[in-house]
Amino acid sequence: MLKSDFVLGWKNILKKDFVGYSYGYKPKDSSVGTTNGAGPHNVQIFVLSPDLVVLHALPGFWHPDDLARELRFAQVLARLWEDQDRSPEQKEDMYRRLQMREISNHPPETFARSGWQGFDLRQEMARHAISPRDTFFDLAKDGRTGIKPINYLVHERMAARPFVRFAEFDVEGFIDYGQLFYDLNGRVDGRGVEFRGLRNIKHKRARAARREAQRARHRRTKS
Amino acid sequence: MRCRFLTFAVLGLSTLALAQGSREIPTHQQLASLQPAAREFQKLAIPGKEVSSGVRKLRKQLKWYKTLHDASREAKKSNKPILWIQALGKLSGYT
Repeated sequence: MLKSDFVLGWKNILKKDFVGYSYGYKPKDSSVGTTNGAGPHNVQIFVLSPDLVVLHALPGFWHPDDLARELRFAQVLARLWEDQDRSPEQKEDMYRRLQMREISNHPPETFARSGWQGFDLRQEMARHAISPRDTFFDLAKDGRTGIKPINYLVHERMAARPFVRFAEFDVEGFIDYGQLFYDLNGRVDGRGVEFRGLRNIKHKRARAARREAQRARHRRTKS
Repeated sequence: MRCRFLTFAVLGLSTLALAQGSREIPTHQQLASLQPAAREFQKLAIPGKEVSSGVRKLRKQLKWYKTLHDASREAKKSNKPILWIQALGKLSGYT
């Protein structure tokens, strides 16, 4: 499918503001399994139209079966984007419906593979305690509570982004869940190599966080 | 992190299970029976040799464009969508 149905591209996001942290591993190191959507800050998978409109996007890593399903779904969205018989408004409306409906097409196995990593869940719960997050169901709106499975969250977030130009796509907002640091390979290969560029980014972010904490303390003292 | 290769050709993309899933989110009880398989997948560790071979195949058998401009040009020519992967690291090196 990759060879026959898509044009493929790869970009190293080492210098992007939204990049997460990880240790680096070479191809000769092992590869480990994980849950769908783990590592959203380190990996993003986009399906784009030839004129660079985002048809679909997936944050993080995905099980091969689930990735294949999502790519086939993206092909449906590609056909919708190319449809000359619908107005832009009709296409956007159909896009939203298709994204949400796709959730109910997922087999239970996909849901089982779309749970949260423990550290990501704790991070989300802490943030949700401060201010409501879209990662949690709303009892009034959804009729249920609890954290949303990642597959559900992804389609919901994409439904809110119908046919956005890639240059305008809010990657940071789309991948905003969980924590920035990921290293599941550590338990298998031991600690990997630190990306040189990331060390500087880490220090910059830590300095910015300390400055912000200082400002917050100063504001509290003043008031 | 090397998880990405489990999403690609290393394990082989299996044909889609086209059977309809539940119209609702599965209940905790339904998921409980599937959790062992999901957990087994998380414990999976593909040895470096296999990963290495998979990476070689990915790079040799598939053409990867490095810029969106070039990918877009090819996509317009071939009338195919673009699968654009943004990741920390290089396909050939550290990820």
